[in-house]
Amino acid sequence: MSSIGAHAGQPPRQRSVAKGILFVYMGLVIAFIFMPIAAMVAFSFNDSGIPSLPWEGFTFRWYEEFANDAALVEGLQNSILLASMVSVISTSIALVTVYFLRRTRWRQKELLTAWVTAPALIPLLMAGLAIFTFFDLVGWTGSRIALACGLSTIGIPFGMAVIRSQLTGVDPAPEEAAINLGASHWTVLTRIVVPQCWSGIAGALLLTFVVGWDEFAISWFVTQFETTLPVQTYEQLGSAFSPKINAVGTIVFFTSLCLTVGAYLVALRPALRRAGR
Amino acid sequence: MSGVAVGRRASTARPSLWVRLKPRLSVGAWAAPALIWQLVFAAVPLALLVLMSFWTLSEYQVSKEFTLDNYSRLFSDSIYLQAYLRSLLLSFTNALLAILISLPFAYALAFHVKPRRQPLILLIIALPLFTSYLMRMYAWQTVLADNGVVNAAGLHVKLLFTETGIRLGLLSYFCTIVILLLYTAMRLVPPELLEAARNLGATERQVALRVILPQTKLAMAIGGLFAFILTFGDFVATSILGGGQAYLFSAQILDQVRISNWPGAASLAIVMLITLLLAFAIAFRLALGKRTA
Repeated sequence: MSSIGAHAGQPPRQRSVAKGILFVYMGLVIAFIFMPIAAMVAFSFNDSGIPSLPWEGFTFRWYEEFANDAALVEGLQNSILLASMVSVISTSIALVTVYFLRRTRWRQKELLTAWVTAPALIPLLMAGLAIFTFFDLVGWTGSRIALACGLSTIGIPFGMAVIRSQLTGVDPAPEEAAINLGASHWTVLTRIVVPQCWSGIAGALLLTFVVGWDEFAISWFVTQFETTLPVQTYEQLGSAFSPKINAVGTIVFFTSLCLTVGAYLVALRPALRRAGR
Repeated sequence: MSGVAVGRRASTARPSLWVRLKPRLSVGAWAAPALIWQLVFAAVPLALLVLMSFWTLSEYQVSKEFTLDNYSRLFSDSIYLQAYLRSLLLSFTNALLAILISLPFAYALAFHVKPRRQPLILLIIALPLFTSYLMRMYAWQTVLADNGVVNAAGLHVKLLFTETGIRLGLLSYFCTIVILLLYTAMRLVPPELLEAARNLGATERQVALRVILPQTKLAMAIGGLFAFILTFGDFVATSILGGGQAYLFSAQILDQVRISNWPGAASLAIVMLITLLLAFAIAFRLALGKRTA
């Protein structure tokens, strides 16, 4: 990496000007990416009924209004329940699948990875429409459990990626030895594999929770009675404007942020460190 | 592993065929949950959507009679073609803009920021990904509104409920993803290659444009594809930031859903899927084809 500093054939002043321009550019892009979040968090504390400058003073009023809005609070509860279901379903299936990929001698095993990952690449509008149609035909529409099943198709690939990254570089010899000595796959999974990737499992639980917690498009199609927080917010956006939506957004943002940072600290950082970064 | 097997063979008789085969057969069962789950809750619903696009809608009831009307209607009514072309143009230019905005950033980050500080900047630009998409688009409303942050800062422009508004909202989202992709690709450029170019007298600009840029072709294709697919399939930014002003293809699907014309919505969704698959094929053709040439 020493080569980065060595700029051949350019006078130093010209170089630093070019570098300055690059850094200013970086700052502008970061501001562009960050502006909406910053505005949302700031205005959730602004003591004014319209989200615009000038700043009217600091308040928790919009958070109180959120807490007193029965529909939004119910949405919050539904979101937490839904996200928990998605988290448990996705992580269990992901763990089992990672175990298979680890143990199998099938050459084309990455075909399974592709099959499992594909649903996460479908545009959410289409996925929502498809899942709604399906549940409508089997007469299972509107329920939270149905939605959790649908959202798990997107959660599973995320969970798989986290758990897999945790197990790369872990020696498979003890597992093979145990199988050869007659242990069942269940024993090998629970006694050898899980203890070596528990942090990956924890990370997967957190990350797939975020998938269920945040997802809007599919939920909008599928839920009819047990609406989640994002769906409830969307409904309110259409009717009357209120800065409490900013408060909801801020809560959703910090919850997702904490969970994702948690997943990173618990699972990905140790994995990266082990990979020798 | 062979040591274990030998030890076992020495102590007991050679295991029967069943004992040796069982672990290999039974491991297949562990692939079943994911296989079946994605089949039931992703593949079957999608197949159903394809099927339904050929069903008939009569008097607000869907009947399972085969028809091509849903598709022929798309070609006879010019409103669909207009919306389609509009979405296509918006998605394509969004993809180009996302790449153009992200390239200098990824380059600056990968080659002009101290390696120790790079993860921090990556984390900062990734932060907005942790809020729901809906909330982010809503937050843009606050920024772009007539009495919003941009206009309060002295600029007087109409941004909210215009196509520019949709574009800004979507771009702020893709740029993160495209930057992450390009940055990763640039970090993978072998340092020896850069050193060789510099030793042979290349200026920094030449190194950036003639050595680094060609190496990021695949990342550019994937990033552009992301931006294209997400713009084309989006209905959140379109409704929150577009406010019905820009009549795009995804809005047509929602309209069909609102009037409970499920076969109509399905046929539009299938057209969308085919478009995205084509975009996928073209992007990879461009990226990989030129590489071998």
